[in-house]
Amino acid sequence: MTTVSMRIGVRLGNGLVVAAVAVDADGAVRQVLRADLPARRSLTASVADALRALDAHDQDVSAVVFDLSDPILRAPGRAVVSLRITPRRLPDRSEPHQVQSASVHRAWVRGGHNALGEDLVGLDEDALRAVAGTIPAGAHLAVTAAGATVNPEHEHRAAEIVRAAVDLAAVTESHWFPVDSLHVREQTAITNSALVSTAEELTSRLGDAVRAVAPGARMFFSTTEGGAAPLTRLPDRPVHAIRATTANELLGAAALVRRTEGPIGIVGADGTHVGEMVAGVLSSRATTSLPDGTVLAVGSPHLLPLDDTSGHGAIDDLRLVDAERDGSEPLPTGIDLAALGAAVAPVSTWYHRTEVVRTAADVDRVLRAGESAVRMTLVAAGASPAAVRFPESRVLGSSYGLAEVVHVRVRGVAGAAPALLAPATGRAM
Amino acid sequence: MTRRVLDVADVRHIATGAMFVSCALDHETGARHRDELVRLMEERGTGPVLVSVDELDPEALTAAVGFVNNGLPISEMIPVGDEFDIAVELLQERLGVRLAGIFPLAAATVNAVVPLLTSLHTGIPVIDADPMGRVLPLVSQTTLALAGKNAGPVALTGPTGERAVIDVTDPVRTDRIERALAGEFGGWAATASYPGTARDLAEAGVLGSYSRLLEIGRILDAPRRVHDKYAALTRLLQLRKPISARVVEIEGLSRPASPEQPDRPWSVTLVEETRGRIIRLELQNEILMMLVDGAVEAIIPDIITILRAADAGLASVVDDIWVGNRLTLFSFPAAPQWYTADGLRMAGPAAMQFLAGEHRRRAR
Repeated sequence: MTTVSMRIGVRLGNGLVVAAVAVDADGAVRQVLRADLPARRSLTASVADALRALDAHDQDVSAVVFDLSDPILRAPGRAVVSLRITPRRLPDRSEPHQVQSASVHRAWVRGGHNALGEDLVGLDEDALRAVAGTIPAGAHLAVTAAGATVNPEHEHRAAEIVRAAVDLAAVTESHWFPVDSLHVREQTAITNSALVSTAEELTSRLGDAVRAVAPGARMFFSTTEGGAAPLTRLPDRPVHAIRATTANELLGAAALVRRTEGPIGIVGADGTHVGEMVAGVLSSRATTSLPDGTVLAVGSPHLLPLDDTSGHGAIDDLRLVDAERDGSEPLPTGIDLAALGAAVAPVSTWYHRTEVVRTAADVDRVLRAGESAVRMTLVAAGASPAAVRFPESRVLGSSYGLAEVVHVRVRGVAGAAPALLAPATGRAM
Repeated sequence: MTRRVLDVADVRHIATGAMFVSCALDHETGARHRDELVRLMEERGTGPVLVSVDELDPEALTAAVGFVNNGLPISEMIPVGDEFDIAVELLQERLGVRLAGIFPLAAATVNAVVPLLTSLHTGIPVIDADPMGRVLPLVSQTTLALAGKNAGPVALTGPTGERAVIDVTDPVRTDRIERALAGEFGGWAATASYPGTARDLAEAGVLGSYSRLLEIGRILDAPRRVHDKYAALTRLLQLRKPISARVVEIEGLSRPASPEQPDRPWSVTLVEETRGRIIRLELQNEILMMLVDGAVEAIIPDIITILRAADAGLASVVDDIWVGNRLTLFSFPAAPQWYTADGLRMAGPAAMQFLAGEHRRRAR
């Protein structure tokens, strides 16, 4: 177990630090805002200045967590080649939205697996080699195959064949984002691929800044669902950093008013958001809806609508937080909720897997395998095994699916968010 | 309802009604089919023709169209768009007769939208009727089967483009063969089944299915207060009093699986917001039973569904059953055919492996 001396949350915006919040071992919170920092043109220098302003250079900093929503959303559009593998070619009109202003060139080859992971249609490798010959060097590739959440072999093989033919800047395979919707997975893979170059650059700059000021600190990025993931994973999965600010603000609000259970709301410039705290973490769903209607296979907080006019949906125990008004020792008013939320976000990960089960023992086995995988991931990110807990761990069927095919859903976290702010508590991460 | 060309508002309302009546599937597939239908209607400047069954020659041939699932969902194994046209054409070829009308295999979910799209593709009118009046899990659970009608021959195609016409009559065998083929096809089959005369459908079908979905959709899509929507739904559907409750527990694989049903059972526990009563939902494909403080509030063939509590928005058990969420639970009677002794045997609690007398129905 590592004793947490100080955790720092940093919210970035427009290439510079907007706010940074440090949470000390005794629960004290300090904040530095952009206005308090020297004018800088470089992200690395801006972050380093913020860390120094929080005395990170001469304290034991356990973690620095970055809310990268703004730089990720501002990432320049990249040309993405989206390779779709399905039994038959879908009409153009069913193409999903484009996001991140990326230009998307689409290609198709025959292939796909069924619900048991068997070849439904063999991968057309000849057609794939012909497609590979048309892909320009340096392209960002997104590969999406029907049935890939059960068996990703066609995605692996397609990426391998294209890579052998052309040098690619990035490859994203859609099964990394396991939801049973080809369109949603494909859109997520396209978005992820479009963000890879930006993510690589951010990872490098942020790493330089932290290493210069607090070389022993672990580095994380905030995830859209209200957790934190190792910064080293950002170049592979940048889409998980998209729109993390809302979740961070809700977590920050929960920390501000010490709420670990029940609905928590924030009053912001763009309206009121209401989330749900369950056992100290934000209740979350498997997808994210963007304002343009695009749905991505990225976890996000469940947000409750608050526009009821009848009283039917009144949320009786809602705690609505206004950062400009709320606060009590040791948490001051006017704190940047997103930076605070980043500082207290638990390290978290999901395990989604489609499995074939025939007996109760099978069910138990796949669930334990899921929990074991989640525990390993969190421990690899620096968590003590004893600190890992599972806010959700279930095996579910799906309506009108095969009886022997089930979905395993395990969410693991390490380090409870608001508890980090409780004074005189031993904490681990 | 007399013969009419549906407009875009009509089909949007029908889709809303279809998603309300069955909340078991995610609504992505239904919404995508609705959007494609609207796109095509706007492109062509016209819509599908809806007729009542008594407008057809009593001897004219009709058939049901609908997805039958077994494996990957439609959202994963996406249809190209010509599948139901092919199934209808295969059935017509097999029978040597043109269809005078098509109707949904189930007037709910994407299966209520599919006939409208197929009608626009083929020019065959859609009949304001269906053989379930809701969604039931098996192809054999229809009022046509209840009346002794044959389910076959059946024409099918699937995600790979492979096709089949099966000469089968018994509805139970039809379900098993169709579902096996759906699995082999890759997760679903686009089917044309229950060929029969308009007279058969008039005598044994659930009539006015689309009219009812249209009315439900008009109520839910209207910019009205939530209370007013519930009051209007209550008048239309004989709703029992809606219950607003918060999800507190979800249990996967909570009961032994029924051997003849696709999918596996699961359960959800909620706490009523105002009175603290404990609500229990038992699910397998559909919501089969709602218990309130241990007493049966509604049980299949009753229709049990949900809306978002805050704004009466559409909800699904896939996306909206999560701990902490607030939902409004509804139940209302299914078509009267399902409450006969034979109807209950086919689609009642015993057919879903609930033991008779295991739960006491709440006195109303």
